[in-house]
Amino acid sequence: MDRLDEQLRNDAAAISADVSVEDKQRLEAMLAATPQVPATRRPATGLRWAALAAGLGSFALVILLQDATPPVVEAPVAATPVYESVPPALLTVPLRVEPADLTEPLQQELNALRADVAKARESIERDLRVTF
Amino acid sequence: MQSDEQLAGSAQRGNALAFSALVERYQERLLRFLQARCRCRADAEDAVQDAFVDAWRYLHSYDSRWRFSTWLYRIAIRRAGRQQTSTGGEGLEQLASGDDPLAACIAADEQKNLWLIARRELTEDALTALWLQSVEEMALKDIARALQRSLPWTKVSLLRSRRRLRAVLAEQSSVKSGSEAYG
Repeated sequence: MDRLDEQLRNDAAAISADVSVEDKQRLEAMLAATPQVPATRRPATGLRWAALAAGLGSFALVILLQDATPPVVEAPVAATPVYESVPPALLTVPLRVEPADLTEPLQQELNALRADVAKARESIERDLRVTF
Repeated sequence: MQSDEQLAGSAQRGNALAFSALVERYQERLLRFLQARCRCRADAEDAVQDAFVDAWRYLHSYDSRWRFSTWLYRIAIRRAGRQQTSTGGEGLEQLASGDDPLAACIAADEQKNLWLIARRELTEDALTALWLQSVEEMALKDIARALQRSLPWTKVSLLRSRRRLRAVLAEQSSVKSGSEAYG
């Protein structure tokens, strides 16, 4: 016990706590007039058990419902990824290819379209000449 | 001599004399404790009486596995709290003005009472915890139970209270020595 504890205890003892005879008699009279509350089972305990039972019941219900629900059939997943079924030649682009090689088919298509347009124009002009 | 718990057990079985013995044992201790907590002696006296009446009324709810003093102090703390609520709380202002009613319960030559400082510097629960440990020598778990606080809170509160009181005392002694040196 250090000095502080000692001082705290001594100072507590210095607080006057004399109880007068009148106060003692008053308390005795109050106690005599006060009936004791009989020992009964506290409702809080009952409530606790009821809450526990309700919790367990709902837990069991959830498990039963889960078992009764038919399982969801999942769509079969492809064993091999899609990109594996494509020939590797189509997926890989030669890195050293010239830009002209890449645009050549488009250029050919454009030339063919232009030729078609020219032919169509000649045909229309011919028709116009014949008509007028 | 019967222990508190034995007397309480006997009182639970309807022995009023056993309860009277407990009242005799605890009346002054409780009054002293409540004076440190309440605003004035009259409030403390009322709280003591109400605490004993409550203890008698609900004696059947006392569980003999616990110390009787813990149970009784818990009732007393609750009663002191109600007393303060019903009479209004000017407490802090009154203490700040230096007009502490606890001072009236202490003899004039004891005006340096450490509990006056503790009351001024600590919160109610911290003061109670300190009292229960240093005066009533209660175990930490009993103090926590009486205050309805956690064990860590109780430990920290006690450490802080002691540190605070030591700081105040050191401050006072340094001021005193300074004034003596210059006076």
